[in-house]
Amino acid sequence: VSTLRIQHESREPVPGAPTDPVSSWLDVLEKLLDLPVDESRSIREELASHLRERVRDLTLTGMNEGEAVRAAISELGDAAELARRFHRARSPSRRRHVMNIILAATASAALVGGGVAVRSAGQSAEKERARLTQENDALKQLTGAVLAQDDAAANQALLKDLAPRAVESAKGKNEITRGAILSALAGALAAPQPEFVVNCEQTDTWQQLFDSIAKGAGKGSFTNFNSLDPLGIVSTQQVGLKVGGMKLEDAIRFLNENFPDIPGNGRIDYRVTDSMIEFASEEYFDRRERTTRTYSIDPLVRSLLDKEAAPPQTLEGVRHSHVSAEKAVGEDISQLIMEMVETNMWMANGGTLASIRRFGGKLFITAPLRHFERIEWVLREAGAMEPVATADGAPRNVVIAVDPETNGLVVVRPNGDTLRCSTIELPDSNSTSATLDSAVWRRGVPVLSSVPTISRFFTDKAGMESRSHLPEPSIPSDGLVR
Amino acid sequence: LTPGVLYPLLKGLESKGLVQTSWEEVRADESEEGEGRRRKWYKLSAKGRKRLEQRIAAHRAYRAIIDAFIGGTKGETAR
Repeated sequence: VSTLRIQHESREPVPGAPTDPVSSWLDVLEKLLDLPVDESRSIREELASHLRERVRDLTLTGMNEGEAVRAAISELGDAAELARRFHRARSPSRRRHVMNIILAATASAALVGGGVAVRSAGQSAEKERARLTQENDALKQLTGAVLAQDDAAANQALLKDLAPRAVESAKGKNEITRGAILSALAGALAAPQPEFVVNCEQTDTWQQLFDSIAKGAGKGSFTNFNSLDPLGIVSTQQVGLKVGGMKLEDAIRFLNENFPDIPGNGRIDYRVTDSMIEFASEEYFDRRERTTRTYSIDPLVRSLLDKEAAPPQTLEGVRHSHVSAEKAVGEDISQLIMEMVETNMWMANGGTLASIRRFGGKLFITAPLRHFERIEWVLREAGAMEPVATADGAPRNVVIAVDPETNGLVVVRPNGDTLRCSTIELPDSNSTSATLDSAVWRRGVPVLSSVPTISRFFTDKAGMESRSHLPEPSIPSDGLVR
Repeated sequence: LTPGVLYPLLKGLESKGLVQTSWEEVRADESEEGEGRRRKWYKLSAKGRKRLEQRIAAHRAYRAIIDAFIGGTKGETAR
C-alpha cells in the first residue's frame, strides 16, 4: 500500500507528503470521478490548487496544518457527492434554457396558489376560509396591478383574446376541464404577436438586417446564427434587401418566402420579449419549447372491451384482454397522431422533435408546444381524451378568470383530475357572481396560468410599467447589450 | 456557495463553452525551485456573454411578474 501511495505522491506533489491526506483524498475522488484521464487530471489539478491555497489561508488564521487540511477537505463535502456533481455538470441539460421562463411562470402560479398544491385532507373549514381570504387579497392585488396599467379597452381586448375556448367549453357545464384550459392557452400562445411596424433601410448583412428589424420595432435583437446556419443564413453574408412599413410578422414571412436559399424545411422564426426580439430557426424554437403531456386512453380501451363479442370468463382472461386492448388502442392512436400531425417530426418516422410512448393506459407525448393544439384535437376526435398532466408544471397551475363587468374573480384550481371553478367575492364589490356558469360564461377569462403564456402576457402588458423601475443589471459595455 | 458546489458548476460552464480558462503560474516570493503554485482563471466567453444576456432578460421578465404580483406602483417600489 505504501509504495502505491508514494507513486501517487510523486505524480502529484502536495505539501505534507508522504502520508498527505489531501493527496489520498484526491486519489479517492479521481477514482470516483471515473472520467477520461485528461478530464479527471484537470479536475484534480484544480482542486489540488484550491486545497493548497485554502490550507495556506487557514493556517494564516492560526490553525495548525492538520486542522487546516481537514477543514479544507470537509468544505468540499463528500467525495462521492462531489463526483456526482461533476458528472451532472458535464451532461448539458436540455431543458435548462427554458427553465427561467417556466420558473417564472410556476413561481407566480405557486405564489398565487399558495397552499392549493399541498392541501391536506383534514384542513378545517376555518383554515380554508382564511386561506381563501388571503388568496382573494392576493388575487385582487394581482389583477389590479395587471389591469390598471393600460387603458381599459386594451385590457378588455387582451382578456377577451386570451381564452375564448375555455369560456366556450365551460358553457353549460359546471367545470372546466384541464384540457380545455390547456388548449385555450395553447391557442393564446399562438395568438398574433403585438404589432410593430418594421421599417428598415437597405442593409448589408443578415446581422444588420435582423438588428434593424428589431430596431424598427423599438427593441434590441438577439439572433441565434448557429441555428440559422443550416438555412444558409450567415451573419456576415450580404443580403441587400429593403423592408418597409411591414408588420414584424409580415416581414419575417416575406423573408421566408423570398429567399430561395432557404431550404423548404427550414424557416426563420422569432420570439418577442420585453426588451428584445429573438431570431432563430423554427426548429430551434420547437426544440426549446418542447414539453411532455400524458393522456389517458382508458375510455377508448373500455369502449373496445365493451365491443368484444364474447367477454372472457376467467380473471386471467379479463386481465389479458385488457392488456392487449391497451396495446392495440395505444398503437392505433399513436399511428393516427403521427399521421395527422407533422408527420416528419416524430422519432418513429425518423424525426428528432417528438415522440409517443404508451405505458399501461397512458400515452406520454413529447412534442413542441405549438403542435399540441392539433394533437389534442386528434385525441378529442378519437375518443374525448383530456390531458392528465403536463411536464411543464401545469398540474399545480392556477388559472384566474376575471369578470370585467362585475370585477369578480374566478379561480380555476387543480382538484384531482379536473379543475373545479369557484368564484371569489371581492370585498369592495357588492355583486357576487353567483354561479360558475354565469361568471365564467359571461366574461371570465384566464389571466394567469403556469403555462408560458404568462410570461408573454406579463412581459407585454404588465411588465412594461414595472420594468421602468427595475435596476438595470450592469454588463461591461461592449455593444452586446442593446 | 460552497467550493464543493462551485467547482462542478465551473466545470459545467467550461464544458459548455460558456467560459474560457487559462492556467497561470504564480510564483509568490522565492519558493523552492520549480514548485510554483498554479492558478486557474475563468473568463466569460462570447457564447457565455450571450447566454448571460438571455438570462438577464428572463430574470427581468421574472422580476416584472413578481413586481406586478406584489402590486407596487411606480413611486413606491423599492429600488
